[in-house]
Amino acid sequence: MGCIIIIKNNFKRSFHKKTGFLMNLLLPILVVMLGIAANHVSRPSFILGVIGEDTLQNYKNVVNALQNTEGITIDKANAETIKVDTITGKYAAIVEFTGDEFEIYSVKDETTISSLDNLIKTYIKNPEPLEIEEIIGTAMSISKRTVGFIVLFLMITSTITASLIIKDKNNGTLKRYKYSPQKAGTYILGNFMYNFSITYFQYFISVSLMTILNISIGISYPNLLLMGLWATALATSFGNCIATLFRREMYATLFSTAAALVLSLIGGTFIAFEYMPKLLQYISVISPLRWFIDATANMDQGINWFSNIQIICIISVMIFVLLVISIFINKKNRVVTFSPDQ
Amino acid sequence: MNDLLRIDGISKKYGDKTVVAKESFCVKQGDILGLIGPNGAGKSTSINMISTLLLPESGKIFFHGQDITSRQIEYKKSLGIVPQDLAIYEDLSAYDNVKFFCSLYYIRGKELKKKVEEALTFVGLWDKRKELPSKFSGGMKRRLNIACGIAHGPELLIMDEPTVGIDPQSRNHILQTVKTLNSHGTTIIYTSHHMEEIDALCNRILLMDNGQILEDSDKQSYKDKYAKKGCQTLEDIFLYATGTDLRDMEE
Amino acid sequence: MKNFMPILQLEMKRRSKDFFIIFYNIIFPAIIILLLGYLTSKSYGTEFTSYEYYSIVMIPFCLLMAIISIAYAAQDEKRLKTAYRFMTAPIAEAELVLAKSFSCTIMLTICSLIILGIAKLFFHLSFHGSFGFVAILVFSESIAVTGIGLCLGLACKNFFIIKNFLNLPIMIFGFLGGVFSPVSSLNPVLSSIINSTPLTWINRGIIYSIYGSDHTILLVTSGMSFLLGIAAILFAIKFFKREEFF
Repeated sequence: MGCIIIIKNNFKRSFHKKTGFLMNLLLPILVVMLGIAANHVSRPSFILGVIGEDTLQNYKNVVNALQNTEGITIDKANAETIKVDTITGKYAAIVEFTGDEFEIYSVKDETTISSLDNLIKTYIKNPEPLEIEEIIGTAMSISKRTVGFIVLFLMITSTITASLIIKDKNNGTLKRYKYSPQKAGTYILGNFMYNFSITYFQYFISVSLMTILNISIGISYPNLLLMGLWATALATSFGNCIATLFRREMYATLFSTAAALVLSLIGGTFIAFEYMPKLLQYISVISPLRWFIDATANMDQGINWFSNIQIICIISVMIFVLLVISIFINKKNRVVTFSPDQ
Repeated sequence: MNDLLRIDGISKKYGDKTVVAKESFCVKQGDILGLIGPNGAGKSTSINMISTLLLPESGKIFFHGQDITSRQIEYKKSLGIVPQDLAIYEDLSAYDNVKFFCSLYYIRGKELKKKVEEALTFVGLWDKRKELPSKFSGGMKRRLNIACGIAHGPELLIMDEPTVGIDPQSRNHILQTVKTLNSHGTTIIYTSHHMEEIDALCNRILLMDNGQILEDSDKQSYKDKYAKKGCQTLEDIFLYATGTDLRDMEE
Repeated sequence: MKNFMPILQLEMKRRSKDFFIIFYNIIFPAIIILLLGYLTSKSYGTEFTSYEYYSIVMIPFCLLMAIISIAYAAQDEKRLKTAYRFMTAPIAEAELVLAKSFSCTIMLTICSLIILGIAKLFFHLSFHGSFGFVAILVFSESIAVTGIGLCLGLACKNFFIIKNFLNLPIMIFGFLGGVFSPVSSLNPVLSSIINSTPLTWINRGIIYSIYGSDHTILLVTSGMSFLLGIAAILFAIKFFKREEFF
């Protein structure tokens, strides 16, 4: 019952500044949509730059074959900016044809360059397009990256929503709450449920807009909504935990961004888990994003969300632990600082 | 009168500094106890221990003869606090502020509405119940602060300098409120640096300094004792008993 | 401008004592460079390592993230409840804004140069003689970030809403600018989106300067950042909102 009081009170407080509330509610949706769009834009692709005379037969055969090879895009490169173009990622590699010879310029690893070298040599002999999965490298599926981004953004936006806890700490109302017979846990759970409802609403709108605009990420709409419940619960418990740790909104916002970013990096949002160094693969178990991405891999194959029982349990435990930490910190938080009596 | 609250040898240290040194006193039912002392005396720390925000390092606190640590929820239901710093939501109306804080004491439905109305009427803010505190004057905010602390009808009310920074009219209103509350049966612990308020309200005085109780007696005995030493007002007694040196803050 | 120096001294002390800001502008970027460098180490060769790439792209990104902390720094007096004293003293708004601009710019530049030093020492980033140019870019970006942050904190009416979401568009700029992985596209629309991100040009400028000895993009980007920063600071002075400060 105490939780319901907190939820109602938080909504009342938020509603009083209607414009601010609406902006706080809708702006993250816009940002999440932009994030999803940015993710689509920024997906790694293997763009190959080529330099050579059109009169060279080898050059023409190979370019033709490469153009028809799935996963590779060809573009004419500039011989004067080979190094910078490979470093900036404009091209994954640049192949320069001179006579019968060719040279590959790339900052990629030896394996990739070697595979590309073999491919070009093969195409010189026989320009029939081949399957070249090992060259594409560490690209993750759209669905995994998108889910990773969404959870990352939810973690940041829910810390913003949880800043009511910081306001309560600073304006003395948390102290008044602690005078009452209500428990510290009730306060945290009430704020958790308030934050959950706001964050899930934002998630629901984002995902629904994605579906309406036909931005498919390979996961069905019902699965997205179900997964969203756990993603939101995790993001909310994370946000609440951060808010209980700090007395200043700025610190909470910056820390949540930093922590969410690190968790997403080690969780495999940017590099596929299989391509991560072994040590980080072990460490990644602590990142909730790792488990969401694993579940996404299953859902990509048409399996529904509830079939990921092990993953759901792990995420649920993480949510529970974060909530317990929040309650513990809230209980221990000194609302009275020692200073000479007035 | 029975002992409503009995403090038995409580103490508190912060690092090497003893803030409250094994103090013991009683608050009888129906008292208005004036808790006074210079800055750094240990008043706020004592209040925080009584209100369970801080755990005493030693000693016990008894409410109606029972240790509060074993029945904290029941104790807190009977306790009301009016903190020195305003503790109200600027973004909720006066009505919603009182309603929220009152509801934390397990009061619901019609009873809740009734208590909210009583509290706001009592402090003279019923007509302003729909307005936001951000539009209130300092005195009105103080009165709302009081309403939030008394709405649930506590048996024991702690008021920590409730008249800081307000005009004489508002202060007078608050003092009348305190007297009325007491006449309805509420026991009050009242702290203030304004000795005329203590003189006007309290029937008992507890004087603290350096974490220790210097005086614990009824007001008349307190005055009589120091009248022999030439002290005519409570302020004279205060300065005589605690000295006139400035109390600088320690790091 | 008699009060400029005392206010500047106060602001410098405040910035240098704020451990969180120092953590966020030095330690956090170092951790992210290390993490990303290690994560992607297998994808890069030996001539140009992942650590070098992320050292180059992460510094401008973390500088951009500092907009948030600058915007909050602009409202320090409000938070510390000393704004009233500033408003009633004979202090010109320009003095106050300039003192904050100087202190924030100096702090950000120093933190970024420290990161560049860490990158050189520990991540073996070689500047090929272009360190001076990179320092100019870092300095210019610091001014731009300071100007934008101060504008948001002092001249913006709805800062209390905007501050909550500043880091999200910056993260999106980061994705598009290749901060988390190199990004490119031959699609004209996508290419335009990528090119519209300031970080894309800043990162390109640094890479072209160090590895191509072509300082054009870097100098143009530096110039534009510098001008943007100056314009933003002047805007903050002109449209200083007392109610936001007070």
